[in-house]
This record gives sequence, C-alpha cells and structure tokens, in this order.
Amino acid sequence: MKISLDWLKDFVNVKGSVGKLSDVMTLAGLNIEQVTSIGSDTVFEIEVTTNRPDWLSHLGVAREVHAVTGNTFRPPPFKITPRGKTERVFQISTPDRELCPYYSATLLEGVRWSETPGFMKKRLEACGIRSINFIVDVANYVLLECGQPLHAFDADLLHGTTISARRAKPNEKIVAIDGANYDLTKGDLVIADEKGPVAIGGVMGGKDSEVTEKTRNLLLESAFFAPTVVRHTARRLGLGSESSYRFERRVDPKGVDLARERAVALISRHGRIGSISRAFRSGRLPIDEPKITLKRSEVRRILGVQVPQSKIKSILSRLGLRVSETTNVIRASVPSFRSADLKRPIDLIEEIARVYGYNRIPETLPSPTLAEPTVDPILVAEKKARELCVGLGFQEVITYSMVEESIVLKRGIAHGVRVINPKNRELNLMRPDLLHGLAQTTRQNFFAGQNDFWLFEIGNRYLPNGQKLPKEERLLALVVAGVGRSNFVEGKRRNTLYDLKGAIQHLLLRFGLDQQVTHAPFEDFIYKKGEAISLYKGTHPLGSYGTLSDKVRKQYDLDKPVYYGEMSLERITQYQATELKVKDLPKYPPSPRDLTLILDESIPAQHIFERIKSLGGELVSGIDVLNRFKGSQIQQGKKNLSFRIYYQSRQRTLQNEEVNQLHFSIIDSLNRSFGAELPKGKNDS
Amino acid sequence: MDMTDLARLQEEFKSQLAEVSGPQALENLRVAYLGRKGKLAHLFSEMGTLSREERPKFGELLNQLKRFIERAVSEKEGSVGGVDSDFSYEDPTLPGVPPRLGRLHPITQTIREIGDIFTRLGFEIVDGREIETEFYNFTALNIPLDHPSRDAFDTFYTEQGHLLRSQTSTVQIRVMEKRKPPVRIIAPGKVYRPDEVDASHSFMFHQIEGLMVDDRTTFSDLKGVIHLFLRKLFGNHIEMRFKPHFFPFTEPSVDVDISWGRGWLEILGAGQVHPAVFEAVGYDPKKVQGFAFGLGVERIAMLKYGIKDIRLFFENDLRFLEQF
Repeated sequence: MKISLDWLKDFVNVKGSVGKLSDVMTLAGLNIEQVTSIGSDTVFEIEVTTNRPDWLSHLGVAREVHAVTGNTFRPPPFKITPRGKTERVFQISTPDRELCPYYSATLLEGVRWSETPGFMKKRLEACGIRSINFIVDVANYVLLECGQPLHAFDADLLHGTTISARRAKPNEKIVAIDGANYDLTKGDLVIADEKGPVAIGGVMGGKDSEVTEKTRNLLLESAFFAPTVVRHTARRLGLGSESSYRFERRVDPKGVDLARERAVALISRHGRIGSISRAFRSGRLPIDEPKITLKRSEVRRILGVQVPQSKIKSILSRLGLRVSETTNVIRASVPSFRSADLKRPIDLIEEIARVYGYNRIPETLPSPTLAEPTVDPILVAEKKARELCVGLGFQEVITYSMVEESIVLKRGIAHGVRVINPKNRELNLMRPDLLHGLAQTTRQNFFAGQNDFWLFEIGNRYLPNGQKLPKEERLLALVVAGVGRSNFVEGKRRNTLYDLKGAIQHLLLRFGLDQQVTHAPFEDFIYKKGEAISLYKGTHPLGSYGTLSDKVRKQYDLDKPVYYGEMSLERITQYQATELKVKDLPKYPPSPRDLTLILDESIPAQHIFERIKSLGGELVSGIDVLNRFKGSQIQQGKKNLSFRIYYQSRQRTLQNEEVNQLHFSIIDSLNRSFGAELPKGKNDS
Repeated sequence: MDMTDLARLQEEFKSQLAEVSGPQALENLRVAYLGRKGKLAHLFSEMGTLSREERPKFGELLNQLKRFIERAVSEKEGSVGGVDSDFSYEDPTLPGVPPRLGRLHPITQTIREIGDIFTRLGFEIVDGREIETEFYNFTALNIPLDHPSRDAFDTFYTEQGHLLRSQTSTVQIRVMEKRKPPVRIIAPGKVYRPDEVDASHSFMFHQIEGLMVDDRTTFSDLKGVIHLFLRKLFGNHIEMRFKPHFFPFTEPSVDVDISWGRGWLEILGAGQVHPAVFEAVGYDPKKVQGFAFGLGVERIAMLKYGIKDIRLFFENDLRFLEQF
C-alpha cells in the first residue's frame, strides 16, 4: 500500500526527517519497504500484514504514527447531517445477512462537476490510482483516506427503486466494469436492482450502471460485506481489487457511514449537488468493541521485562484503546477498527512490546532444565548413510519431490500421490522412487560434459494409502554414471556395476546387515535384463540395484552407462544390527594361497567361494578375487577366475603342511563338484 | 629335481640380483624367474612328476622361493627405480592424482551447521512428515480457514485432500501433541509453495523450525538465543534487530534482520508461541510458554556463499556442487 506523506500530514504532525520516521515506524511494526519522492510529496510503500486492515488507509496509518511517535492526531471532521428530499426514494433489502450484514446508500440528484481537483488527482496518482472521473476519483479518494470502499451507480440506469444485497441466483450473469461477462453462483453476493445484478458485492460494479460523464443522479453505496464471501468470489473470479482487498480483511464497521458522508461532503465541496437524500439503509453494522483484562504480571511473564506502568497506559491509549487500571490489572476496551486483531491479553502484550520497542527489551539466555535426550533412529541412519556415501566417493544431490507423471507412470508404477494444483503442469506426481530426479540430474551433467560421477540422494518417496495420509518412506539412492576416469598413474578406470555393488555391500556391512542380505536376480522395467538385483533381508525387500535399461536410458536421453540402486533407509533402520561387537585381532599370521581356476561360464563365483568356506571352515579367513576373464585364450564356454585364499587360525600358527593339505583337498573337491581345472603352469601349488 | 635344486636356484638368483644396476636389468631378471615361461613356472609344471607324498612339501618350498624373489625384486625396485620410470616422483610439478571425493549438498551442509549450533544449546533434531492435513498446517497453527492470513501460505493440495506442508511449523504441533514440556527441538525439512519460480523462489525449499517451550522462556530469551545463533552462524560482528511482524502462530511476532553490507536483511521469523497454539495441542497457556522460529535454509546458504540463484540448489550441476 502506498501512503502519501502530504496526505498523512492532514491527520498527524510529522517531525524530523523522512528517513527517521520510516525507521521508527518500521521498528514499531509498520514496515516501510520503500520511500520515493514524487514532486514535493514523499510516498511510502508499506507492508500491511493481514491482521492490520486499519493500515489500509491514510487515516489508519496516521493513527499509527501518532501511537508510535506521540505526535498530535487530528481525525477529519466527519459529521452526518440530516438531509432534505429527493425526487426518488430507494428501498434497501439485505435478506442474506451473513453475506451482507449492512448496506446503505445515499441518492444525489442534479450533480454537476467538471475536472477532479488537482490535489486529489495528485494524491491518487502518488498512490498509484489513475484518475477516471470526478465521482470515481472521490470514491477512490475516500477509499485511500478512510479504508472504506464505496461504489457509485448512475441512478438513472438502475431499474426500479429497490436495491437488494443478496445471494446470486443460479445462472445469473453480470457484465462488470472491466467489460467481461461473469457467471455467478449462489456462493456469490450481488447487488441487484429490480431487473438483476448491478454489481458483484465488494468486488466490482456492473457495466450497465457505471458512472460516466453524463451521469447526473448518483446512488452512492457504502456497505459492510462479510470478508469470507468477498474473498471467495474475488478468488473464484480472479478479480482482486482495491475494494475486495479491504472487504476481505474486514472494514471498520464504524467507518461505513462516515465514509459515505465524507464522499458526499467532497462531492458537494468540489462539485455541485442539487439535492441529497437521507441515507437508505438495511441491516446492522457488526460493531464489536471487546474488553480485555490483562494481568500486569503477564506482561513480565511473557516478555521477561517489566514495562513501566505509565508507559503501558499511554501506549494503549494512543493506540485508541480506552484503558482503566488497578494495581494488578489493566482493562482495555478495543476500538472497532482493531476488534479483529485485539481479542486476548497476549494481543495487548504484543502491542505494548512493539510500541515500547522490541529493541529496548534486553537479551537474556534461558536457564532451561535438562531433558531426556532422544534421537530419531531415521535421522541417525540418515546421518550414517550420508557419511558412508561421502566416504565412498558419492556426491550428494537434492532433486524435486514432484515428478512428471507422464514419464514415471510409463515405468509400470500403477498409482501415486497426485498434486491437484501443480505449479508446473507436468510436475504433478509425488515421486514414487528417486529415479526420475537422479536420471534428469545425470542427463544434465552428461550434457555439461561430465563423464564420470557418482551421486546419491536421501529423500522420501510417497505411496498412496487410501484416504489416510500417504506413506512417506525415506530412501537412499545411488548412481554410478559415465564411462569412467583415467589418470596418468593407473590409466583408465572404468565404472561398472561392480562399483555400485561394492558401495551397496559396504553400506550394508556398516549397518551390520551384510551377512543377512541376499542379492537375488530379478526383472524390472528400469534395469537391463540379467543386470538387476533385488536385495532381501529374509523375505523383506530392502531395495534393488542394476544397470539402467535401454528403455529408461532412452526416456531420459542418457547416452552413457548408468548404474542405479535404491534402498529403503527405513527398513535398514528397522533391521540394522544395533550393537557392534569387536572381534579380537588375530594373533597368528594368515597363509595366503593364490589359485586360478578354469570354470564353466555358468558357474557363479559365489558357489565356489561358499564351497571353499564350507570346506575350510574357520581356517579360511577370507577370499579376495584377483582376476576374472574370458576371451580368445580361453576355451569356448569357459572362464578363468583367480583368487587368493587366506588360511588362518585364531588358535595357532598353521603349519605349511596343514595349509597345503587343505588347499589341495579344496582344489580336488572343486574339481569333482564343479569340474574346475587348473590352467597348465599357472598355479603356484 | 629335489629340494637342493631349489636352494641352488635361490643362491643363483641372489648373486644375479646383486649385479643388477638398472630398471631394465631388474625386469629381465624378474621375467627370467617369475615370468610365464620363467624358471619357477617350469618347476611348478614339473611337480606332477613327484609322488603324492613329496608334492605338498615341494610345493610349499617352491612357494616360499617365489615369495622371496617377489619381495627381493620389489625391494630392489626402490633403489634402481621401477621399469616404468613415469611413476617415479621425478617431476614434482605433475599434479597429484585426484581422489574420488564425495561431498554433501550445500543445503545439507547448511542444515548441519545450524543443527550443530542448536544441538549444542540443548535442542534436539526431529523429523516431520511432508504431506499433512489442514489441521497441522493451518488450524492448529491459528490460521483459520478462509482467512486472508492463509494467502501468505499458498499451498499444494493432493487428490486425497491432503496438502504439502507450506512450513515446517507443522512439526511443532506434531511434537507437542506427543510430549509434555519442556520441549526444545529443531525440525529441518522440505516445504512446498506454489510460487512462481525465479532466481529467489522455488516451489520446493527447505526450512528449519525451532521450538523452545517450558514454564519460563521469555521474549527476552528469544532475543538472546537468536542473537547467539546468528553470531555463531555469521560471525561475532553480526548485528541484529527485531522488527514487529505478524504470524498467526506466534505473539509477539518478529522479523529478525541482520546487518548486511550497509543495510539490513530479513533472515528469519520468530515469536512467542501463541496461546491458541498451546490450546490446540492441549497445553495450558497459563503455565506453559516459550518461543518458536523458522528460517529458510536456501536463503541462508545463498547469503553465506554468495549464491545468486536458488535454482542452482536443485539443478545439481556438479560444477556448482563441487565447490562446497
């Protein structure tokens, strides 16, 4: 809202510099966002919070300046004078009191005018309102001065002499001043003559009864419309106006009649009026002037500081409250223009604090009692997972929770949580997994020329849960993307699915889950066939990983290899081993033995390792894979697998003899069960 | 072939090794013994001719010899240099090999930094849901239905009639419903508002909610705690001012500004918890009091790091993320 300093000075004395005034007001809560000079005038752009509709007028702001600075306040000399006779007499009807509690209008006959006076034009323009014609300008002037929206009808264009402020009938329509045709519903309030709607109450007037240069007889409306109906209609029709803005925030019921009279006075002073009717009216103004009792001790309890007694009284009085007090209690009667905001003792405490000055209240540090420390297991797991991922070389990313349904649902996800008013029409689905955001991030980084990056994200997926609140499940997703990297020491280092698997195994190990999780092959749209693994703890799925399928890579335009994995942090938290027990360090050295086997391609390495472990029992302390290859030097349908077995006992040093015997018996057994053969001249045993 | 052959072979190797002076000679020697057609390979292949009883013993000795030769060659490499002399540290101006470094997103880093300050002050970090009911996002926070104060909290709705929380204040309600005072919490998380996206607005962003409720915490304490926090976050030189503001769920309410350049910058909103909020969670506002605050994580990160566009946080361009 724009406030003209020149106008403000009609009602309150202003001393000192503009900058000083603006600081003082801002620190008391009337936030002055911008100060502009326009000719000899200064315009303040003020921020009006929804609790202070009284600031939507120069009068209200003047009152606030008075309250904060103590400078003299001069309300305008409004008076309602009894009036004479007009040719016509209007009847007002307000059948729907909950929508329109009070409606009044004055008929002005034989009105003549020329130009809008210069001062009025100047002030309106300073406040950002374009001059239209004298009558409309007066209505706008009063709106900016008193905060009460008025509307003027050309009385000769109204049908009949009954004006009703009523609920719209089904299928009623109106052409508004903006020229557009609006369909009304029974939730809307209309002002109607005997033929039909002539205005949308509090929102916009009708084209057919608009005041023009030819208008000689006016009906000047001033009403109290229910904030909710104006808000509802203005939003529904997308018709926000200076009027609706004020009605929505509740106008001062005590100002309704005064504003109408102020307009009549201005028209008669700067134009000419033949005759003025009495005020035609219907309904009752919902004037509310609550009384609040505030215990003095409460001020100190909440603020932590004792504001002097005399200060409290002067602050509240200057704000327009009538105050009486005893030693312990302050009784304040709230003026109607603040009744929506000041209702309970805490509201008075805030007024006292802000006018006294927030910055005069000392800073203290609380002396809290100790409380039982509690931790949320999900947050602990999140933190641990983040540290592990960072340690494993993954870069954290954060992507949007809303994704494009059209793409995601193609992946065979049946349903999700939809947003009905998305900002971007495509982003209307709460993500059912983290793939979408990560795939897009991957593509963008490919486009930016990145060729090797590992990413992770921790965030929710959202699963519908009937009419109940959707399930929000915390996931950890990992991406290994790009061909790989090279450096001058090692040469090329390729990215493979084994890199992702290694990271996932390490994560599971650190959550104490490595022994209990099975990696089972499965099929899914997002993964390449044969390169998709599902993670299970018993029968409970924990997540999956694999090579992204060509279909998904095509969806997201990914032209390099991408490996993706996703795990439920929630389930990991549920199943994790809570206590870590340290194993004693081995006292006796391991005896490593390297072994290369020629195997049928179809035999999984895991079967070989499991056999070795079962044969070796506790004497096999570990197996490292050294190499695996297929190719021209190896027989068709076979593969080579080289690994190192560590033989070790926790009780004694193993003798070579014992190790060798075990090693050879393992080789014999692998040969018998799997047809594993030793390459000629390759093995060191 | 017997054990003494192996001993002789070891001696022979030792004397040859002693004569090696350059990397190529060392490599030749290694190949002669350890290569695919080297002396040891030959011996391994001959093992088949031994009896079952002799085999393990001989195998073990042969393995010992192999390990001895491997170790001796690698030790010698230290003095003569490896074959591939590129790997010697001969050019100290070559760059180090870049490690694969994982990093946290700057938003996570900022949340952690703020969370750490408050946990040291005795606050506890809690988690909260993102999809909520009107009760938690509005009603319990003293924001009436169909009231203009809702305009400041424009909101996304789901098909089921739920909403995406437009503020982390929802967590205040969730926590107070479950616990008795004292309550001291910090709740970081994502919030959603259908704002027009530009350099300073995003429809998804992060907030941190703080709440301290007991039987004594005052507005003075709010000032003390917030100022302490801002000094820890931005440095001791930071100045703060409290501007009265309006939030439905706090009273008195305040916009906190910090000194920034030559002016002031709004950094967070705060206030004493409104009695209506206490009533909504079943606390007695006559006995319970305290403060709440909320701050935008992106805004703070943007200030701290000089980031000019909020969209950078969610585009996840590695050239941006790698700077943190």
